[in-house]
Amino acid sequence: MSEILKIVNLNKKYNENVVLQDINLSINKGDIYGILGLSGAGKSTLVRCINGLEKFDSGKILFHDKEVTFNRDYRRKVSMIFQSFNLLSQKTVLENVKLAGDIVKDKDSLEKAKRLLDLVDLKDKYNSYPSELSGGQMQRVAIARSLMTDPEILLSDEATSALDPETTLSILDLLKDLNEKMGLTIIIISHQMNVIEKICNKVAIIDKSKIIEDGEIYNVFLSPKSDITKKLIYSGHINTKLDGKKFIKVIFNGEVETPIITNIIQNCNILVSIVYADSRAIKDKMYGQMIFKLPYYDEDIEKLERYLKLNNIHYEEVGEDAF
Amino acid sequence: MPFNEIFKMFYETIIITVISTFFAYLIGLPVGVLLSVTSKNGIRPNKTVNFILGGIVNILRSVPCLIIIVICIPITRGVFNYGTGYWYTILIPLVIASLGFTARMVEQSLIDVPYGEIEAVKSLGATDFQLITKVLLVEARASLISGIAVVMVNIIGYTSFAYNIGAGGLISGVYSFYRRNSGSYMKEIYFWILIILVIVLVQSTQELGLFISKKIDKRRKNK
Repeated sequence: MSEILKIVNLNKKYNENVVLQDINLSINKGDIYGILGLSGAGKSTLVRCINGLEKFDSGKILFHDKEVTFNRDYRRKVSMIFQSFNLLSQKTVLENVKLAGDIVKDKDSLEKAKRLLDLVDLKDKYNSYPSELSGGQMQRVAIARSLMTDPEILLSDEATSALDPETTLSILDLLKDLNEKMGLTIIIISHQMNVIEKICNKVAIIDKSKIIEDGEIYNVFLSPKSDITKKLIYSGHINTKLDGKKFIKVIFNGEVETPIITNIIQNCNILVSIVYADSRAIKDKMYGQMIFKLPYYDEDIEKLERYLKLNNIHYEEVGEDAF
Repeated sequence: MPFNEIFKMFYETIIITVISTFFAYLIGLPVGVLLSVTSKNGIRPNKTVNFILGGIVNILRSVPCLIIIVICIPITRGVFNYGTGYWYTILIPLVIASLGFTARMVEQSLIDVPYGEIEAVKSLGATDFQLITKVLLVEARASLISGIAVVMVNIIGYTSFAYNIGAGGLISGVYSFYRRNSGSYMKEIYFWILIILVIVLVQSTQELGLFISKKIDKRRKNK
């Protein structure tokens, strides 16, 4: 994996207020990099510094190992989508997308705009105005528009925060698709844990202008080091569904990485006990089901749930009558 | 007073208003754009330019129209050979008198364009000039149109002063009518016809502006 963007010792103040302090980040090509933090932590300012919408006081940003000068070519390589979509209200969907090509007098802008609108599933909305679209559709238009410049990096500034959970998932799926099919590197700013955990492979936690933890999402979320990360991950926004009943059933569909018990114990640092198991290995793959007794502490239960979710392991909560 | 005279006054008012508005925008639009672009939250803030332009606009707006008309007489004479007495002799002072107001109207329309929309297009690599022509002026067009109607109504009001330099039009016609028939003017049907025409003209200008503005604004759901 080659490094596409590197941020070195970035600092920014508004008057006397420190907004960003010694920010260092390294983002590889193909990453979906999450930047997670509470409101006011500085994450929005950070992405706006990355694409030059805001200036910073010291430090530098390297794009393919070269220091960035924020000229037009760079800005087109690093495009952005926003929480409020920011479509032009007086232009149709097609005109909005086409505009990105017209800016550089691209002769094929109309064809390209149509192609990208088809890609985001808005074939039948060419001539609609933004006011006639739903939030999810508007964000799809914004995504199509951002792709017009053939970006290498897409910055997403709370792009799903104004959307309902279902629409959020469909937008995240679209982003994941773009990442996989076009090799688009994506940087996602969010205060929503579930957004980051859904599609990011790496994450940086930002708090009070500083990055306090970063790395593979797996490591950061399963064994958070700082209190703030723990707070972000375990408190408030996540209501574990695993309460009330005492057991959890895990279904092995052949895609679960084994040994699961050892993995859970090592990665989550919690102990689980098996109360029932009916599984067999076929060609090194596990099929069947297993029922665990839940750990005692809520935090451990959340860890377990998080582990299962992150690994795409199918599970459901069951009562004693299930076995 | 024969009807063809009323028609002439009506025509004069309209042509004075339309031509003055056109030139007021020809100069006022760029000034308004510059004012909004250089303001603190504009796309290229510039204190000096904003201060100087804003100062000129404010001074223009604080000079009463009649004074501008009097001061402009030599200029008008230089351009048209006559300083007073014809409908076109009021054009130059009206353009100058409504310039500041026009510029401020344009500025306000552009300031109302959501900054996020500008930023989004900026992040696509647009130049400042493209931001003005492809975002600001397009997004503000509904508000600019209703602004034009306001400026026109304002200029129709200014045509009252046409009486002072004999430049004609409906409103000075009302006053001339009084001067000629000071004993009985209230009882004359022509007097009331003139007044009704002024009201209809002002109202329809305003309504037409609002109608077009609403019609082209895509923010609201159509129909």
